[in-house]
Amino acid sequence: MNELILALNAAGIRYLLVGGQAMRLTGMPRFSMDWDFFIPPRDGKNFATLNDLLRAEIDLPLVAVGSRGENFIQTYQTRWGILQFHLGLPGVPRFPQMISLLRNFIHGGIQFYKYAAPTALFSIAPILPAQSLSESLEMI
Amino acid sequence: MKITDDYNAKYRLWAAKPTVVPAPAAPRLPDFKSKRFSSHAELNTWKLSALRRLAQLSPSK
Repeated sequence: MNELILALNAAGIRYLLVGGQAMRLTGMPRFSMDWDFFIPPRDGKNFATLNDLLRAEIDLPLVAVGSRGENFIQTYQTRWGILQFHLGLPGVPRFPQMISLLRNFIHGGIQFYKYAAPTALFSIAPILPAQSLSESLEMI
Repeated sequence: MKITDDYNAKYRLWAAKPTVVPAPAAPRLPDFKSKRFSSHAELNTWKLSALRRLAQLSPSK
């Protein structure tokens, strides 16, 4: 899976890893088998690059969300496991706001925002001392 | 009495000693075609039916 994450990063894909795998990477074991990615719902360039990267793995291209919420979640079975692309997450701000929130949330310039478990991170924020939060994020 | 998880306690435990464990190996699932959903409710309905199908395929049945 590292291979895919590295490829996404190298291609400059706009994404956030969310859900169980993000929680695992921030130190909270949660044995979810699929990989959930939060991506901007209508970024044509992002979709084109993603489709190019995943061409050999997916039988249906990733597409933008429709005007009535069609394609809100797109699920693929790949050699890395099940990939789920979420074009929105209930109760979570839109993608750009989320990136901005996470950037503001982190101190010391740690570029952690590619990995986010929104529920967990926002829930623990008030109970985590700043120092241990930085330490836990540096592990990523 | 219904016993439920105390999520705040879980987060405190996690925050006190975060441990990154390796990702579990992806299970060998029967192939399925890509899917597009309009909502998480729709996704969950599909997931439930997929899990039911998997359970029926289980050799222990």
